[in-house]
Amino acid sequence: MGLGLLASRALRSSRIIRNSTRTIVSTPELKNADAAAAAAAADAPSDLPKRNPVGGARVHLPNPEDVIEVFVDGYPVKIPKGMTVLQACEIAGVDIPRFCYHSRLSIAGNCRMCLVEVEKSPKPVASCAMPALPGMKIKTDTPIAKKAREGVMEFLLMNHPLDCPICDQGGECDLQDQSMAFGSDRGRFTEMKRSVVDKNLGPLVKTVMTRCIQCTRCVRFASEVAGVEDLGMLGRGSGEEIGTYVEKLMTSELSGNVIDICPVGALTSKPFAFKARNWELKGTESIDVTDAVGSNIRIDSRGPEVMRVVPRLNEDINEEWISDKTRFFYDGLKRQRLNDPMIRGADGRFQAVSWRDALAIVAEVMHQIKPEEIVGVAGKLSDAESMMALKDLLNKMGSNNIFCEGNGMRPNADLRSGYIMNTSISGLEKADAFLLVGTQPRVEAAMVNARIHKTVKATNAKVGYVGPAADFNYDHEHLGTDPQTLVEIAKGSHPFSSALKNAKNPAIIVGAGVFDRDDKDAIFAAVDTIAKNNNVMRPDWNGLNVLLLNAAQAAALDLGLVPESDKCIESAKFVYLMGADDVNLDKLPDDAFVVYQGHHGDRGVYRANVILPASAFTEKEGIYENTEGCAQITLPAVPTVGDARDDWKIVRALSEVAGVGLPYDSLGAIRSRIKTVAPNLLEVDERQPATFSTSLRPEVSQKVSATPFTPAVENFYMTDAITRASKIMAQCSALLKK
Amino acid sequence: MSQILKSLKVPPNSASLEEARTRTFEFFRMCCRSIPHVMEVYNLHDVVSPSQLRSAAAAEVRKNANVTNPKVIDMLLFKGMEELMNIVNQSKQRHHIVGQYVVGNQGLVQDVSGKDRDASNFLKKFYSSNYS
Amino acid sequence: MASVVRSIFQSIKEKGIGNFLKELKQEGYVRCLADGNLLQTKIHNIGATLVGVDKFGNKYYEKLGDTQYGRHRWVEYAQKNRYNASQVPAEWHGWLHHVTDHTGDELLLLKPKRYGLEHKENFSGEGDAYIYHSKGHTLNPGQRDWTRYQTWQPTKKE
Repeated sequence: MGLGLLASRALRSSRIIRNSTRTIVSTPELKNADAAAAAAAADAPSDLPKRNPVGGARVHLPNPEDVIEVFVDGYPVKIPKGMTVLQACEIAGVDIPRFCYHSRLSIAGNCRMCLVEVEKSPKPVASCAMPALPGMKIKTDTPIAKKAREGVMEFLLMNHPLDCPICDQGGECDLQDQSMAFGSDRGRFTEMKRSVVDKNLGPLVKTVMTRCIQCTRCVRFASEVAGVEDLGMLGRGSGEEIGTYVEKLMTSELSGNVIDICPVGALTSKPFAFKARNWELKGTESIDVTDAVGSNIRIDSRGPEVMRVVPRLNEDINEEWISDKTRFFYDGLKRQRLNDPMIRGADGRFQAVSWRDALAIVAEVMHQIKPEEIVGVAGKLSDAESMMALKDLLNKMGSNNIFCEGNGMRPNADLRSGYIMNTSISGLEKADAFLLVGTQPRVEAAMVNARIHKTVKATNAKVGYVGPAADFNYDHEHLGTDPQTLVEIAKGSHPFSSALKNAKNPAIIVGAGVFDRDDKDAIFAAVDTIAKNNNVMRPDWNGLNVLLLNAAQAAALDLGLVPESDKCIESAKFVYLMGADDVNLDKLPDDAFVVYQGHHGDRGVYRANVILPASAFTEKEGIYENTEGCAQITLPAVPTVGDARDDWKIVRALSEVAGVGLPYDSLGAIRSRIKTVAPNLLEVDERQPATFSTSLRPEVSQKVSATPFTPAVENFYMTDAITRASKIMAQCSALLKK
Repeated sequence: MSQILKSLKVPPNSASLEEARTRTFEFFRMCCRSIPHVMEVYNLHDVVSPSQLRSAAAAEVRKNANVTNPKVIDMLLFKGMEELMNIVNQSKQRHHIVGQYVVGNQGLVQDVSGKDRDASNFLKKFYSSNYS
Repeated sequence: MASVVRSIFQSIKEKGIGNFLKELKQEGYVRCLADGNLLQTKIHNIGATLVGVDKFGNKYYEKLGDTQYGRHRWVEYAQKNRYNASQVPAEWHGWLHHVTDHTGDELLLLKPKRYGLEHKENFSGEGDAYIYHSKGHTLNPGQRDWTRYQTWQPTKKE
């Protein structure tokens, strides 16, 4: 079965869930903005053909007084005050060539590629830096504008090497494209080209600094989005170059994004260097599962290999950035893979067997064991379908001991608002005070941290932090290391309480590391009190958040993966690990039978008696719910390796061999089963807010302990089976984590 | 002589089902006779035995056992002959032969035990591959 | 001619008859009786100058003067029973074919150390072991492993 067929199957089955097309932005006013832009363009003179905004650019007109009208190539366009000429042109449907301008970064105006002619202006103006004025007549297609661009292009190419054939950016290079579109067809350059020494920015970003055109996008990205002042501009004139001032590596968890924003091949991906050309790759739009953010990614694959991962635009979750872990963990998908079902023999050695034999053994053992001694553990990368199937299987066997690792043994799955990010990730931008409880967003969810950084940068929001000493890339107040601090804030005796009190939109973020603490209920009660005292939960603002760690957690709690007893591991005789590697099995009795179903030979397999190979998230279709309660779907990009099967299929087959057949045998059927349990999981790409607030939580008599909070993630680069198998991630943690 | 040959035209189609049948047998025998040569040129000794190849050829013929129209049989024979020619002339490569006639449509894992005869369709598919 | 006979007797005297016969065989004089080419070369060698010997033992002769131009350089192969032109290594090829007047020994000094494969003669028709099979061929012993992923090895214990 070919990949094409695979992809078409994936598309077909995903269509079952939602017939409407997937939109990038789900907020209704932004959707309507399209119509607003269209209406603005509609009253164009009838003799001119209609134009559409570039790339679906939207214009949002907040109040009618601030609207001005400009003319782009004769088209009247209504835009809000303060927009630049370039943005006005975009709304009018004219794409202005640019290198240094980036919509998410500050304006530099140093590449001069966006020159346009403005009537009554003696010289062409740089449109990205020029604010549009009422009645401005902008001309983008005149000989003067064309000549200006051609001249700029000639200057840019003067010192740009002619190494496109060996450049990794070749084929997706802005300079290449724009020199084809706007450049001259001949050169008059005969002198020598300048050359620049390459910089070492670490194991992820490769630099060929001779190719740099000094757009300073990377410098602005590093200081504005990543929050590290690592990069800068050195020298002036033709000696100008990008560098790190002193010899040092770029130590940001978002450093990979400079590869995407670099318009030329100066900053490229080091692991991807010379591996493939971008036109050979097949892109599959999928979801990242290495943390609970669920960043939207595109998996670029060639044949059976994942060649690279790049971000996809999603304003609500990751904007257009992704963390380094997401971007570079993909080589872990090719290493340490389980490809055959295996059984541990009497001598303790694993032996490859057929699926038939492996399932028969598991089914036989399962029947010999008392139902309450059967325990199922879902791993941190499990999709909702397989967790549903596993829970149904265990329930049919008579056991109800199933949980998802990371959720602790006494998870609170009753109130959805008690475990998701109620503010939503994009909603954090409205907050003006943050209280981080036992969470280090920088390592736990880098994209959420980027939002907080953006908010702090924009509004000078106050950030209070309770937890172990940690590295933040924005100003924060370290309030304390143990839960007692929370009690003080709740009482109002702590200095930070006034900051919370004065805030209009305070946001509290509790880390999922708290789930594993014994005094978790007391901590949540204290947080609830803080929330109540500071008006954190209002009808128009819900600032009480839980930041989860793993991709599977939210869906697991939605599906009710809660163990019957919190001592189930101690008394278990049969443990079914579905990709669970980080669950603590020290207390497991020695005679317990362990089945490991997963895709990587990681920690879990060493205790296993039977190994059932499963497919990784790049190889299957599955629903993942992110920390803000938005369900998203992964699509298969590459075929499974060896004799592996999809997770839910294994559970379904095992149920039949064990004689307790599950009533579904397709993804569609299993999803209709999910619909009866957690219908919100089928509302793909749309955030489902929690209906009931945590105020319904029962009273807690427990007291908080004095044990300090511990970091939930010790190593940002290695958190799960795939990232631990990755060589690049190992390099990163060796070099960047000192 | 040439005059006589011209008049003695071989009929393009089998006149009756009986004739088509004998032609089919002749074709099968021709296949069987070519098997040693095929084994030699494609280096198949370590993957298959002549009798297995023979039964593969027989299975290909039996696949169309229900056809009774002599014209259709003639057409199928023509196609079979074309295939045989391609094989004997080495217009194919080893993996073609291995894929089409040695491994066959069943895949490398062939279930002969009949152990999961009462298994559901899902389970049968599950055992054969992840995609089907 | 007389000098040839004289030199033969002299070498018999020096080495003894047994050694002389052995050398006679090694040098291919015995083969000459059956192989006209070799005999012709041997006769040609008389009075020629030995220019060099390559690493395989092939001897390169030159005779200027009364030889026909174009036939004044030749090789006597080291192997007397199975010889062919591909046994001449690259460095001597140029000299032998009048491409250059530099002898192979001189050219060897110019050879870069890092580059160049060792000269190998052409084994076509010399048996199955010498048939070239491309990378993907079934019979190529060093077939490339096309598996794109690395499996977990169960023997490795923690």
